Amino acid sequence: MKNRKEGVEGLEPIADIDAAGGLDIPKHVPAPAGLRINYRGHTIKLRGLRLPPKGIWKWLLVLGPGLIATSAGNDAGGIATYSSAGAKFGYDMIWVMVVLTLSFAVVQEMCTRLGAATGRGLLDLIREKFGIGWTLFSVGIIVIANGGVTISEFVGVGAASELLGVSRYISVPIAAVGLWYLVIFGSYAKVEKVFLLMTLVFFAYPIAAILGHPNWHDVLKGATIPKIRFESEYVFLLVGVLGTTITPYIQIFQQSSTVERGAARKHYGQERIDAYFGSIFSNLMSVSMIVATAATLYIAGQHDIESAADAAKALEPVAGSAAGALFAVGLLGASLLAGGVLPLATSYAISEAFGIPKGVNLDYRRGKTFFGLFTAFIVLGAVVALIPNIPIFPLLVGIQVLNGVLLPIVLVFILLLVNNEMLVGDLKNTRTYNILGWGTFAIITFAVAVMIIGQILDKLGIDLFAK
Amino acid sequence: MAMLSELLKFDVVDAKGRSARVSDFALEILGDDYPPVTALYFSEGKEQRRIDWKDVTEIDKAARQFKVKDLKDGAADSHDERAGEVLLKRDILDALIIDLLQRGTTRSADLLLSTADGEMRLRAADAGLSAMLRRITRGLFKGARKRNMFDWKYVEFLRGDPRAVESGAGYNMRIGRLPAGEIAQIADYLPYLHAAELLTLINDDKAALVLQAMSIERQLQVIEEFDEEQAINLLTLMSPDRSTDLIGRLHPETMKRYLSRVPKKQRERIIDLLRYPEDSVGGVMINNFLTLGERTTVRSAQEQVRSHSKERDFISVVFITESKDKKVLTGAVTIRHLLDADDEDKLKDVMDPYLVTLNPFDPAIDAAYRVIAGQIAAMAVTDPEGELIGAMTIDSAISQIVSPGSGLSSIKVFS
Repeated sequence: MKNRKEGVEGLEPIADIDAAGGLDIPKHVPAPAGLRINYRGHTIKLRGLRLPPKGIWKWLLVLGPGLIATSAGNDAGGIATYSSAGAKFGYDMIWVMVVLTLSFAVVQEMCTRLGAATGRGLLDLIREKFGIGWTLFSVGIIVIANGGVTISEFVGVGAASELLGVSRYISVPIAAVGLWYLVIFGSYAKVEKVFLLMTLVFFAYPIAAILGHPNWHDVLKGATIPKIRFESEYVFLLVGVLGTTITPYIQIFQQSSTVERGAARKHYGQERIDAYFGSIFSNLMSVSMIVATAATLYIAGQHDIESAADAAKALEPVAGSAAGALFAVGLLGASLLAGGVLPLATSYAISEAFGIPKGVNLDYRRGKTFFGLFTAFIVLGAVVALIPNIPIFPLLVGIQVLNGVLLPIVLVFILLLVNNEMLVGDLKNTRTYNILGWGTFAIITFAVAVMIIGQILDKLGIDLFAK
Repeated sequence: MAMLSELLKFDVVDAKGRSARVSDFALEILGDDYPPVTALYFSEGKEQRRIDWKDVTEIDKAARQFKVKDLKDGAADSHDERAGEVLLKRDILDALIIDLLQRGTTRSADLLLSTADGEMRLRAADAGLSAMLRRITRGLFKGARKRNMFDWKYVEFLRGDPRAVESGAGYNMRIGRLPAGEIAQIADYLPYLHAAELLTLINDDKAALVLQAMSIERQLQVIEEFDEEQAINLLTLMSPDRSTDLIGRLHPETMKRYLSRVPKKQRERIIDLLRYPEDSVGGVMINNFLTLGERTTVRSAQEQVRSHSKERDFISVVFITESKDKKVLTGAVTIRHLLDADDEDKLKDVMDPYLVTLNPFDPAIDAAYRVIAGQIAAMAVTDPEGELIGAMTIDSAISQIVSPGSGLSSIKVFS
């Protein structure tokens, strides 16, 4: 009997499974981890002494919530902001993205760490540690802001598809049903894989940037030498870039999906790589957008970009139809990704705040409320996006203000929670993290204050800066 | 009746007119279905003090006051005493609670207390939006809906700390009344630290059943939260096939260490099962069941079934081999037939000799459909020489064909 051995000697059992009974099993099994064998036309996986993956797989398998959440930040609104930054100020704002990458990575990593250390989402922890008032305040803003952004994502899907020659009345319902079907009937692992695949579409932006033939020397200069202009347009765009890059829904999604992925505090480490890689990748894509529009539209004197679709349209005559089409494809992919991530982040947040069972892995019977919320946000986004001439720009401005109000509060919560030793144990923040975290909080709070005061003064006809 | 959010706005006033603001209430959590309040905490300046409930002389709702003889009777707050007590505001308000009637989870937004005959008792947890509004409007909103009230008799609350029980924290200790499968279903969608904490509230035998009924991903998270002693204890109590699934996913070093510490019999069974691919019949079969020689009498077989009923994972079918030592499979008999047969008959006379057997390297999914289509409790698994090495039960078969989100992928009914 091959399978009957005494004692614990020879714990490498797979090495002992040779060609038993003429089966098609390799005589010398090279490595136990993840090995598969063929038997009667079926592939079956050998078990026992699983070793952690090595080489490139070790790194690729780590990617998940971090890359998805941060990439979702490069949504329709993000593309519009970054394109606008490039078209208006050329390469002058690239340095902001370099500085922001560090802040972004620190904030995202703290959320991942909180998720792994506590097994709880951000709103879950806010409810427990900061009480009902802050919870309801946060949930209220999240629902309104994320609802609005979800609409803008479906508007983005419609605009991108029309640039590619497909009516929005066809593309938006298909996108909504597709995303809904994926989340309702798929497992978390499947949703994560599809979302990860969607991030590949962002490579359209570096290609578009290269097609724009930028002056790489100027790009490098823009990235390394800070240049600040005391002009209202520059300041507000700077604040816009900050707010678009670090947004509450990205933090909420990253923490909740880290929890759903099953990360545990005992093995925390690999998730950190996902958070860092995601932040760097996402900001590299943002820089590509700035470079693409700076090298073309800025040089051509076309400075006014209001939406991502505007950027794609404007790029065509200047950089060629390929660059315009790439921007449209990027917009479609980005809007689809964020169109899935935003309703999920909102459903996670509401469920956590009220203690409702949540998670893509639940079946519909057990997750009625969670899936009901997700469905409601998808329907809201798709239906409103199909209303002709919807004023999306004022809507986005309002949402930016709401997110701006919430962001510093969320950052304080994250920092307080991640410093709570009772809660996170050994995974509490180091001094360096605290310096970087609180520094980010200070910058964001200042920027948000400038934005809000600026908008109030703007309504009153007063301009803080030179035109 | 009064809500906690309301009572936290009360003052404690003594006969000399001194007053202080109430800050929390201590409960004797295991005292009754509706546990009584045993002490009252109040703040006096920066100091927290504690006064026994027996010193409360009157509850004046109109004046929002708890009247006591002398505030100075209150002892200074001892951290140690607080750690061992269940406090309404600190431990239960906003905590994750499990509704044992509906098997659901929610968060307590407020707590309902009865105030009668000089006693105050915890009656229900209010999880509705109205409770939240009541709290944030500081009582301006007064509505409460009965359907959002969870009778305390059927509630368990959790802290999210698997070490809390060990350190002497109190619980309602009612979760253990549910069947293991239902506890596992609840634990599957709790945060993993809460799920680990839940297992510490029930005895080890049941905890092992709950653990093996959880999804494998959740099992991994939970077992790693326990200290090694507790983890090994649970792995020993679990059925070998489920123990194998779990142990096979641990880090190789942890796996070796745990295997070297589980009792010899369990270790051998686990190692046997670990040799097979995880999506083959061998990977999902059980190997802790009763086999008897074909010359055994029915009387002796019945006695052996009775004496082994607890330690074996599966007794619905007894597999018959040539003899106790020669394990070549010759037939099987169900418990029903065994109970029905004459005591002096030999098993070879009552067994069914026409068995369909499975090869351990057959794909599990194909075999699962064969077991279900055959409508039998278990199908024998034999090696090329015909020796019995395991059995694929109907439970394993169902686990193979259900969707991962159904919560049924770790079903254990017959085995």
